[in-house]
Amino acid sequence: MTMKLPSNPHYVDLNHPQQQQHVLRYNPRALEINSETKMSQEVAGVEVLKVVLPGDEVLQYNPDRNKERIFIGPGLRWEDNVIRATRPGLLKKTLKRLYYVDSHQKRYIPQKREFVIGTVLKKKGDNYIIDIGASEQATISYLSFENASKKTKKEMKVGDLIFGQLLVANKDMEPELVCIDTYDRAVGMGPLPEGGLLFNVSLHVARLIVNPKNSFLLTISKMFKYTIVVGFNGRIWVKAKKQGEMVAIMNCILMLEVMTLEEANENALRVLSSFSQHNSKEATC
Amino acid sequence: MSKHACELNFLSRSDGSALYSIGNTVALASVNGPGEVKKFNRLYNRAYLEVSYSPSTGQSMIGERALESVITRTVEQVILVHLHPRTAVNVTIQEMQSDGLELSTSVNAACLSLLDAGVQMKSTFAAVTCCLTPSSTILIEPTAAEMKESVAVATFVLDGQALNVLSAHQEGCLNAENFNACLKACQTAAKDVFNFYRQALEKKYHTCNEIS
Amino acid sequence: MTSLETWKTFEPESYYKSFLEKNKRPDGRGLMKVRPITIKIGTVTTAEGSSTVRVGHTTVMCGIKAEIATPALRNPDEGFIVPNVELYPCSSPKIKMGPPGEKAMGTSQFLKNVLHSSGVLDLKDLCIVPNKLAWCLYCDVACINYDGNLYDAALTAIMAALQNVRLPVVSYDAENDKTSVASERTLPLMIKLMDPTAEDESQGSGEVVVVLLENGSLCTTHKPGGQLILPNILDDFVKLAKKRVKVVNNLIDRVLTERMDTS
Repeated sequence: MTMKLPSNPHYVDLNHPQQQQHVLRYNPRALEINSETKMSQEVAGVEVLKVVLPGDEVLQYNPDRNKERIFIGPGLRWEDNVIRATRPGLLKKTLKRLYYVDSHQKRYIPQKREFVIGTVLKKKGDNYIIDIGASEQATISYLSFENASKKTKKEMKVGDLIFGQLLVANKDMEPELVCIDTYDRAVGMGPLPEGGLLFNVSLHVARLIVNPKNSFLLTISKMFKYTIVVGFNGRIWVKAKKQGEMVAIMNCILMLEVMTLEEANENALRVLSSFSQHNSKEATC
Repeated sequence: MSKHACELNFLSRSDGSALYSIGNTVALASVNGPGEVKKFNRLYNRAYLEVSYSPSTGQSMIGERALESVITRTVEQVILVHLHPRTAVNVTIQEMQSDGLELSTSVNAACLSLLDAGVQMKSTFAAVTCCLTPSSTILIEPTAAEMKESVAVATFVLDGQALNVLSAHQEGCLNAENFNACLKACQTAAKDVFNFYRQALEKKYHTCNEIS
Repeated sequence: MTSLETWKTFEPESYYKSFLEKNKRPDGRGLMKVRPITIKIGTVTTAEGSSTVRVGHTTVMCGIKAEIATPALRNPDEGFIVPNVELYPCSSPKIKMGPPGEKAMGTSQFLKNVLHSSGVLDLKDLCIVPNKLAWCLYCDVACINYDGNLYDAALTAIMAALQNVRLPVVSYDAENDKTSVASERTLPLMIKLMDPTAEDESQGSGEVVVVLLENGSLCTTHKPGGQLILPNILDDFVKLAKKRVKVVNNLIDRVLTERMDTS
């Protein structure tokens, strides 16, 4: 009987519910389909235990004595046969006995396989240097785009936005992005088109709105047709027909920073309609 | 004990912040990090921690620099610095209002801002100041006037689990008996401070969104 | 590079641990053994009081300059004592030129705290004429070789130098508002010899913990309140030095870890 103990504290198990959400670039319709199919398996069965502070004992665990295998997710540390919290937050447990602390943060710490939005800072040899809001800049090879080859390079300007997945994220190495999956397909990743609006939110808000059970984005879609890309590094890119609509959507999402989901859902339509009325008035004038 | 109050996430732009007050002493702490580090501060095996303290009036003098040094060393042993090599964690403390308890207020503000930022730590920590009056009674969290009258002032920074001493600072003479009595009194008071921390964070996390 | 040096460079923790298990330090010294202390007084002839202290390789010089100043309005019958610590770049490769670093500032503040709270020197003794004249003692502590345990060395140096201070007699003519200094007659300062190491200890306890945890190996030895030493009153200088050795024995954790930092 072995216990899986991640040496990297940021190790995120595949069973981690937050890692399961691949619904990232979609129009609201696509979300609907995805939300039905994806979530029922993983997100359900997450049990919220309590609020913990760093140093709080979560449980005693001795791998030699305890027969039961457990998984430790982010925000927990195993030392001297005791599992303690290292971050404040809600201690959660999944059906597969994965324990983790759901903590609110604004600073992004890169994790393997997470989807992020980055800004191109410069070109360096065969790589682009990308800012993803972490402590170090990420790199992306010009070959790791769909249909890219030595002859057909992906050309990007400084300041372009890019939506990619972290291939390497490790405390000892600089993060590396890719815009293709293992089958060389883009699956929605790649440079983001011009004319969108980028803004930052807290990391938990970013996780919250891509949660397939969350219908908040659908609420917004009742009003406007829009495209949204959410990076796990707290960056959100929105594109709609009009500038005003994008701002309205941004304000709606920013409400989640301070409100509960119910409150935000109630207020969302009001905010959005005030924007659309404003726009229509402008049009008549 | 004086009244403790705090507001988390007081600043919108920093990664974590807390406004903390004990009695009439108020400090604002903000945390940024783990983020980019200057080249000459870069450590290959751990995060670099920088604490800067600015007083409410005037410039930062040698006293403030010594205070910074105390806070840096306290925070340094609590944060899990080895988890984020080649990064920097910046803690900035601004004294807003002073009534003698600068050290304990800014240590507590620093702790709550680190909690707010979600920086990984071994445990929480809290500072408690006490003073010994000429009539040998111990006052917890005295005012500046009470401190002036007292024989000695001692501040202990205690950790959240076993209430062990992380750092101690003392002005004035204390004999062994009084020193231990002060420590006991501070340890008792620290329990309340930790309960206060817990309430503050429970409040923060209970209002958050849950989907299950 | 020898294999021992390689070990030290790549696995410092296990290197030191292996010595600690045998109650020894890398230089062969026992854990409870203090480095030899040498104290000389009156080493700077141009200063009013001075001393040179060596603790092992740590060498600290202290010179005390006296200036006549006007007392502060808040305390018209008190003089001033201003300690200042400087770490010269020659003392250690880690120290660079420029404004005083954290270590120097921390030690200055520590000395100031000790001098003021221990009552070693009654500031009222420094007053010549209330509201008019008082002595201001600038205690400059210069570290010329830094090999750990700066607090102890600096404090010993400052205490030694203070006892060496000879101040000229100052006569003040109230009518003409003139001050004359008779340079030939000197007057020693009255120093109440309180053992500064007790102070050192209680101040230092915070340091102990921090340093220990940095090295990670000895943090468990720490017990809250366990490091307190009863303040003793000493009469003469030699006795002070001897007493200090005993106290340093108890402070060995700190010496050890600072030593580790520098070695």
